[in-house]
Amino acid sequence: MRCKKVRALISPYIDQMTDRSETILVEKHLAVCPVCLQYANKARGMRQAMLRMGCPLPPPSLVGDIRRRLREEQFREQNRPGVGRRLRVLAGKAWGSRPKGETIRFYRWRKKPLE
Amino acid sequence: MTSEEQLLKRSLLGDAEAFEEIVIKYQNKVYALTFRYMGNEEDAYDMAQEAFLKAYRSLGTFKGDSSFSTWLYRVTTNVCLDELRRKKRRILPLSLDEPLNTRGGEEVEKELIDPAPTADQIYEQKEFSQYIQNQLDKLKPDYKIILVLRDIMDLSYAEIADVLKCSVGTVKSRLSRARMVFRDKFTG
Repeated sequence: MRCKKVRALISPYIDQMTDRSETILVEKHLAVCPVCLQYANKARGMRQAMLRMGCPLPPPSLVGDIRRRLREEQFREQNRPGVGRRLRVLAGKAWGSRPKGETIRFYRWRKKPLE
Repeated sequence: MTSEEQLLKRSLLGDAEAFEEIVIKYQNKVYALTFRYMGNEEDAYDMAQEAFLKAYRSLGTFKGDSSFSTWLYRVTTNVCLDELRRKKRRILPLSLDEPLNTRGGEEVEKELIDPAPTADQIYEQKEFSQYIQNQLDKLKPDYKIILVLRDIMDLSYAEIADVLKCSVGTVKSRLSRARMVFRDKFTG
């Protein structure tokens, strides 16, 4: 039971993120349990191995490609029609879609008198 | 005002050249992060671009309550997480311990602790790095991301909590689970 409890603390322990009582519990147990000690050493080793993986450098074209896309976005944004023009375009399309010769009638909603 | 703050202010006003200087400053870190998240150069390159473009578009949301690098990591993580979930990579069942093959065709056990590497050991280390990356690629996106942030990028728990917008306690428990799952994949 203690091994299970200690193993749950190994991860924060190797990162020095356990509180004082947890640290004491883990260290006391590792001093007497070779299985858990091996578990902790493997966890530490795994972290060291991953830290040594290193970070690959980006290709030199990355900055240029981002620059190009930024400029394209800015160009699109600057040449985007304003709201007023967009509404007029929509209205024009709606107007243009009505059948020829049809008169547009305007109605006003009126309340029916009570009978 | 620091030079970075000046660059950010100018970028907010639409100065693309100022933002380009920010890209130059952070491109290595962002690319390293996307490479470890995505597992290959092509996707890493695309995601790095997307991350910077998203950062540019959402610069107005950077309040300065965390460092800019942490904020940028957050944007990068979200972009990659969305892509990883979208791709829904299938997690393949793993075999038991696989020995490492050296150039001479020998099989050696994996050595995790390596105090003084020779040329052969460096080669094995590269192969082992590729092996670790392959195993990382098989994890669920949430586990992969937290392992990359802590065990490869070496961010602190507080920084990871900032990036993932969660508490330090959540980082502790999620990292612990991720390491257990990852470790089990090595030992079978």
